[in-house]
Amino acid sequence: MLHSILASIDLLMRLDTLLMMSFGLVLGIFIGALPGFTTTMAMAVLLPISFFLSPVVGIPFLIGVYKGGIYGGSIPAVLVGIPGTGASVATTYDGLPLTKKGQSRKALDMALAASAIGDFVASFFTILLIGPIALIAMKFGPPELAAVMLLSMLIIAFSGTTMVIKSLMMLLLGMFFAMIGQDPIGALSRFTFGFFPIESGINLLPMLIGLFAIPEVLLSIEEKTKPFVEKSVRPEGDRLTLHELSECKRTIARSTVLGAVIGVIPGVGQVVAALMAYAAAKTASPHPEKFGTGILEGVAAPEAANNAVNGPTMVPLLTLGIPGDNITAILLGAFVVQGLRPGPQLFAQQAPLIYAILFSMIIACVLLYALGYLLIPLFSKVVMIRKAYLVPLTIVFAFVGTYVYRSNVFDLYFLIFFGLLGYAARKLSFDVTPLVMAFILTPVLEYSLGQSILLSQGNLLHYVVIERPLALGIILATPLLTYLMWYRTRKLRNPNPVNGTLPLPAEQ
Amino acid sequence: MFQLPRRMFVAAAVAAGVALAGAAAFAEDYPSKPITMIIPLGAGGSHDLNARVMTSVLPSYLGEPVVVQLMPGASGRIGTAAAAKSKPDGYTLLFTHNFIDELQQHVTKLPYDPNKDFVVVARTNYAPPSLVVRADSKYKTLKEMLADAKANPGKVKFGHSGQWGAAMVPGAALLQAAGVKMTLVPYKGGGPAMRGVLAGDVDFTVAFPSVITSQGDKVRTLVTFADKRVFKDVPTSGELGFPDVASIATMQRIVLAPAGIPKDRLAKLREGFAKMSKDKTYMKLLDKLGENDEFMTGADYQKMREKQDKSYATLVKELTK
Amino acid sequence: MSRKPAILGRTSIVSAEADRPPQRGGRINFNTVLAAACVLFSIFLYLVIPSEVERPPVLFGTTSAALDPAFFPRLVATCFLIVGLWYLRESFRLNDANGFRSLKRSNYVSIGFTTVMFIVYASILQPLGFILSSALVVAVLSIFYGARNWASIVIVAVGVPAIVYVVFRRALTVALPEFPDF
Repeated sequence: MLHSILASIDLLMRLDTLLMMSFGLVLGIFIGALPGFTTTMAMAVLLPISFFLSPVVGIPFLIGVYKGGIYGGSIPAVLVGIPGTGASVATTYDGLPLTKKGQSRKALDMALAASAIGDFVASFFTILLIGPIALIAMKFGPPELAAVMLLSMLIIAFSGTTMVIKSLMMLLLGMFFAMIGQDPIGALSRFTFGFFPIESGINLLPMLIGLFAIPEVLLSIEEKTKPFVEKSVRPEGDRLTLHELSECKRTIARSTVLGAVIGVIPGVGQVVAALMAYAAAKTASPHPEKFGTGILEGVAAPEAANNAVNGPTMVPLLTLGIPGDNITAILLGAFVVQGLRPGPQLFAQQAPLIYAILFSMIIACVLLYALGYLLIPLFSKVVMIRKAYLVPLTIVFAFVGTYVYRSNVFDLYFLIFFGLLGYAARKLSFDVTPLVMAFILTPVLEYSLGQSILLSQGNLLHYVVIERPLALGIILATPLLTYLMWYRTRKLRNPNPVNGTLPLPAEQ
Repeated sequence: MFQLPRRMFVAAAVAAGVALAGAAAFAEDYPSKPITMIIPLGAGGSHDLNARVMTSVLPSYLGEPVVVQLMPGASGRIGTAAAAKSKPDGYTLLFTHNFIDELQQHVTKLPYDPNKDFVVVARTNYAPPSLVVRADSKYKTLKEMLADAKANPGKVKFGHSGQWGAAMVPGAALLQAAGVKMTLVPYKGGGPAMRGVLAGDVDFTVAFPSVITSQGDKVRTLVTFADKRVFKDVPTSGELGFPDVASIATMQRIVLAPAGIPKDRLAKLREGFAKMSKDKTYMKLLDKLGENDEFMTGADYQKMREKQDKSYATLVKELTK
Repeated sequence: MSRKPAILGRTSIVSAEADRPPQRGGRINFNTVLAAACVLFSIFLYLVIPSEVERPPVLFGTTSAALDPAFFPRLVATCFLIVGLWYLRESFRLNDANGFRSLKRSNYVSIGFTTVMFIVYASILQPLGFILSSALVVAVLSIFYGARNWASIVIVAVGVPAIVYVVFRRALTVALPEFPDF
């Protein structure tokens, strides 16, 4: 094995590989920064480029696009409150307030640092523990996944900033929205009222952009004359200091672990990782009420977590040849076109190449930091645009981002609907995070539950207890963990709750 | 003071006007602007990959770029409906497969009619599915598995890639022909279904050649649903006594155009695709994907299509009795 | 606001720790309205489920879906009912600030106009094509928010969508509605 590793480093240290990886990273960052342009789409579009490159150059290129994209989504999230990708939703919670306080540069720097560190550490451990990770990933079948989904939803509902009852309402509303369209198992229509555009259900992207970006737009135009950023001189603020970064080191460490663990479980994803890391950071902090007002930890936590997912997600692809999500599916395509079939065979026959690819993941993190560092001054200038132009342009990007996903005009109407819903939620102190979580997780929960019932051939209880100890363990731990999270965040909830992202205008 | 801004305004307006006018396609030649290819499936699947290969080679024969537009949803119905409603001017195509094309109308109400609303441009290739079990499974031949299923209805677990999908239809057709009952467990796609087999949660799945080869000796292939053998030592369904399954189980990748497309444009498209199918780069890339390049012209496939319509009607009726 | 230490037994899950007596207790507020809506919604769901949820096809003699597609909807409807009723009861004790109350008339005008522009944008996007409709929306809103330099308005309104169009359509080969069909 040592021989393979040495050979792989030799393969990797070529100028063209590093150049293409950097190119991929830059492309990824720019594309990720374009709202609505998901990393998946970016990779699908750039995939043909890799056809004509050698595998040790082409695949790191795509990996660069992937990592750049996940990071890039944080840029519009911080600057204008539009989550560039689903994974950046939690970044808007503190990112945008930081921008408004005139600290956008710090926020962007923190997002970059947290992303690079989280990704690096997680990728490093992925390489070390690739065998055990593959085994654990294999153990996560439908019952385990269903249990994890339920646990996640409960934790988010019971540890929010608003009253539990309100969070539960948002959770249920999210579940309802998730059920519109086709049921995940049999593709049967539900709640479509004969209206064909809804038949495939509501899409995540219009909902996210609507719930998070549009209310910001509406809130900022309430006061037409108030400038976007409070400070007018150097609105982007100073750079992040090393001291500030090291203050967040526990948050980053915790979020990295969380993100990596979630990355191992197939089917959960970056969005959940970011939201859970944010909730965990809030819970563990001595001053949870500051979250949402614009603190750097609030940016560090989700960004470290959502990038930490990248490393472990590659494991099923590289060891079994089975992609865990859309992005790894595209990477699989890239492999296959090169005549490489990832899987147990390839691992045995071409270990140096596989290790080269794994190491490229680590190098990509370093390059990401360097490139991001150079690009951030460029991006942060965005806040200097006059509000009169910035807001309409934000709207255009929000709409474009929603449209390009499916070229479906109805997604735009959903965008507006969710925008108004998010606005009302802000005004009435509802936290929409449980809604988003429920929307994302309910289909997976229902699907896994259905699969579990089929697998158990009717005897679900017997099956879970006897044959699926991991699932049983998670189910038993759920009430304890939920109670724990609830208990530790109770300070946040009081009869006059402050919503997660903006203090209410008015009396309190 | 107003002179300068006014001049700029005029200049900008003129520039905009020229840009608008210039972009309006008033050349008579077809194609004179990029063609959109709708794929009613999600990113990263084998269909997407095939499309990417096509769109990197096709422009050199058609003269204009081909833009892929993914429109997943509702088992392919969303994308298909969008293509059906688009203008039949030859600038919108649909790249789909037979399970969506000729089966969906028997499963649910559609806002379009596949046979009336579409004409076939070409069949780019077909994909022959095979039934696989885990390498250490107790079933060494198909016969053993079917016997076990017959003796214990519902005991054998079939993990497939989705309702009426590319794995379920072949499997269901076989089960129906063999007259056995099994438990069908849906997964979100071929990948998770394969994982289910490897983890031991289900007994078998149906997969395509490139996936099967990548698993090496971790899986055992029991039968292939095709007319010719794909793997040297794996029998076809015909050889094992199920002559009618192959024709409905094979996935045919087809390019459709909305009906009403002018005849000359359709001819040009068909010609372009035919030339593409002989292109060396195209064949090389497909080969690397593990796909074959068995091309069939649109006219020929149209006959096959009608047969498929009837076969699927029967299949669905039998299965949902 | 002083916080009394929480003693487990006295803590109610619904309205957390600080047990001060409500200042304006017992009033019907927006929470009550929402809670009532919640309850009504659950009833609506119950009524609508039979007609809106398709029944699974029968495969091989038994129903193919182990989990009835109506199961989760019914579960959610039931939860809405429970949560709604609970919320209703608790709402009398709450005195959250109603953000809407503090809005002035001019705010409503701004918000209303912008919302109308949203809807306009969504409806003209395909018929008029991307560049034209975006240009119109940007121009109108910029003027509404105070931009007055006509040259800049035109440049921004036409320029940015044009660049986006070119980048998306040509470089990234993503489809955006093109020019109106003359």
